[in-house]
Amino acid sequence: MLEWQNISIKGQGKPRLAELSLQLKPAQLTVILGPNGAGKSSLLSLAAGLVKPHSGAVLWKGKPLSSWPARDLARFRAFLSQSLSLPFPMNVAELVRLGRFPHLPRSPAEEELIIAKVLELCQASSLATRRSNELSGGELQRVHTARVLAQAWESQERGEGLLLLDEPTASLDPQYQHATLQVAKAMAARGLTVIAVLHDLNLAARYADRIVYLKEGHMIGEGSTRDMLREDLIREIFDVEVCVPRDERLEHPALITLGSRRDALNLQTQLKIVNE
Amino acid sequence: MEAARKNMSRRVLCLGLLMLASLLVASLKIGAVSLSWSDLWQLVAAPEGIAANPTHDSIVFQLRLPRALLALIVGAVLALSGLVLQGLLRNPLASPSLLGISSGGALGATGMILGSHFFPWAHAGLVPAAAFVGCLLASFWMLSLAQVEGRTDTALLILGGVAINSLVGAAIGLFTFFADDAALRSITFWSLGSVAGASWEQVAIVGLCSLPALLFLSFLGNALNALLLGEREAEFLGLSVERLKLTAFWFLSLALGAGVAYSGVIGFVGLVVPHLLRLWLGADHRQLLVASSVYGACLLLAADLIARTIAAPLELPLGVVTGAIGSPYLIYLLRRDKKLRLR
Repeated sequence: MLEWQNISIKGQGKPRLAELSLQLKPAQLTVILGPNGAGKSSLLSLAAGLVKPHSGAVLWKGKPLSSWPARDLARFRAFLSQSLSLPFPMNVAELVRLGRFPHLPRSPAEEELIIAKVLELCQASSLATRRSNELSGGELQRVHTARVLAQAWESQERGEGLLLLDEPTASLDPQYQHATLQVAKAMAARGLTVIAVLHDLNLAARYADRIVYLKEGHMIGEGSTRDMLREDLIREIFDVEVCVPRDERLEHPALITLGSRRDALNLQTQLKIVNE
Repeated sequence: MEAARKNMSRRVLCLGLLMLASLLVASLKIGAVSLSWSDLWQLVAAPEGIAANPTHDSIVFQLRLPRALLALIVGAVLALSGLVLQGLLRNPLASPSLLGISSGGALGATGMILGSHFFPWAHAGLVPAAAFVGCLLASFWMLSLAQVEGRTDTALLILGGVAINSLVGAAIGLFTFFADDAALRSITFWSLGSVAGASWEQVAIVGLCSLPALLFLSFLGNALNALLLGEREAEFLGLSVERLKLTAFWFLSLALGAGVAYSGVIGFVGLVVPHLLRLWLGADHRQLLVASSVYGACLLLAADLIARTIAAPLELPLGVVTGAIGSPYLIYLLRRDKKLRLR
C-alpha cells in the first residue's frame, strides 16, 4: 500500500503540490493525468522516495519512504525518467544490465536470462547488440524501459513493489505505446503498484485501473477509470471540449478532444495573431 | 556477447602488461650509458652486495629503476584518475590537470617548500601532505563552482577548472619567482612535470599514497556504470552518489598529491588514456579501470624514455612529450565529436 499523507511541496513562489492525500492499492495501474505544470512529476518523484516533501509523508507499507536506505529502496522501487542522456555511448545489453545494480548478483546465466526477458517484453531484443548512440529516441526509450523492468524483476517475483513510469510512451509509435502499457499492466497483474504519468487520454482509458487528476498542484479527482473519464471532468481539467462516443462494442471509454474552450486558443484568434 | 567482450578486455589487458614489462626493461637498458643484455643479466644475477660492475649497478638501481617506477606509478594514477573523474562528473573532458586538481597540489607543494624557510613547523618532508591538501581543496572548490541546483554543470566544470588552473599557476609562478631555492626547482617542473629527480624514498611515498586509490577505485566499475545514466538515475538505482564522490575525491587527492609533489603537473595522460581505451573496450568501467592504470603506466614510462633520450644529453620536460602525443589526439576527438553532433 502506497500512501501520500497530507503532502505539500513548494516550488518557486506557489505550491507545486498542496495538501494532497492519496492511497493506492497494490496490483493496479494508476495513471496520473493533468495539464502541464499540474505537479504530476512531483507526485511521482515523491513516490520514488528521493524528494522530501515540505510537509506530510509518503508511506510504503506504513513506513516513510525517505527512511529507507538508497540501496534497499532501489530493490523494490524502479523509476523510469524522461529524456535521459548518456555521456559515452553504451552497448544496449550493458545499459539494460545497469538495472541489476541494486540486486545481489545471481548466476551469470540467470542474469542473462533476465536481460533477454525484459528486452523481449519491451520488443527490443533485436537492439541488444546495438550501441546507444545509434538508436532513435523511441528505441532508446524502449531500452530504458527494459532497464527499469530489469530493476523491478525481483519485485515482480516477490509480487510486491513499486514501478513508477514518467511518460513511458513519449516518442513511441502507437504499437509500442500499447506494448509498453501492456507490460505495465502485466507488472500490475504480478502484484506491483504501478503508477504512470500519461498525456494520452485514450491510452489512459484503455489501460488504467485508476485515474488521478491533478491541476495546479491540487488533486481534482481520483477513482476508477470509468468514473473518472467523464466529459465534465475532462472539460474542467484540461480546458478542452470533449466528445465521449457511446458504443457498446467498446470495452472502455473512448474520447475525442475537440479543441480549446478558451477564445485565445482557437484558430481565428491565432490567425489574427499571425497576421498582425 | 558478454563473453566476447570479456575476452577482448583480457586481451587488451595482457597486451598492456606485456608492453609495460618491455618498457620497464627498455628504460633500465637505454640511456646515456647503454647497457647490453649481458650487462643487465650480470646485474640481476649478481649475488647480494657484490656488484659485477659498480657503475652499472648504481646507474640501474639508484637512477633508472626508481625513475622508471615513479613514472609507472604516477602514470597509472593519472590515467585512473582521469577515468574516474570522467565517470563521476559525466564529462569526457575531465582530467586531473584540466580541472585544476593537479595544480592545486602543486601550489600546496610549492607553498610548503617556500614555507620551510620561514616557519619552524614547515618541513620538506611535509611536501606530499601539503600537495594532498592542495589537491583536496582544489577538487572541492572546482566541484562547488560547477554545482547548479545539485547538478554538476558541464560547461561550468571546465570553466571552473580553467579559472583554478590559471589562478594557481599565477601563485606558483610568484613563489618560484621570489624564492631563490633549488628545492623549488623551476616553474617548468611544476607546470610540465619530470621524474628526473626520482629516489627510492619518493617511490616508496608515492607508492604508499597511491595504493589505496589504485585498489579502492578499481572496484568502482558498477557504480561508475550506474552514474553514466546521471546522478538522479544512479540514486534511483540505489547508489549514494554524494558519498561515492566524496570518498573517491579523498583517495584521488592522496594519490595525485604525492605524485605531484615529486613529479610536478603532467598533463594529457589522464585525458588520453581513458578515451583511447573506450574506443577499444566501450564504456563499461568494470573493464576500463584496471586497463587504464596499466596503459597510463605504459604511456608515462614511454614518455619518460623519449624525454630523456630524444635530445640527450638534454632532458625534455614530461609534459612536452605527453602534450605532443596528447594534443593531436584531443584535436582528433574534438573533430570526431563535432561530426557526431552534426549527424
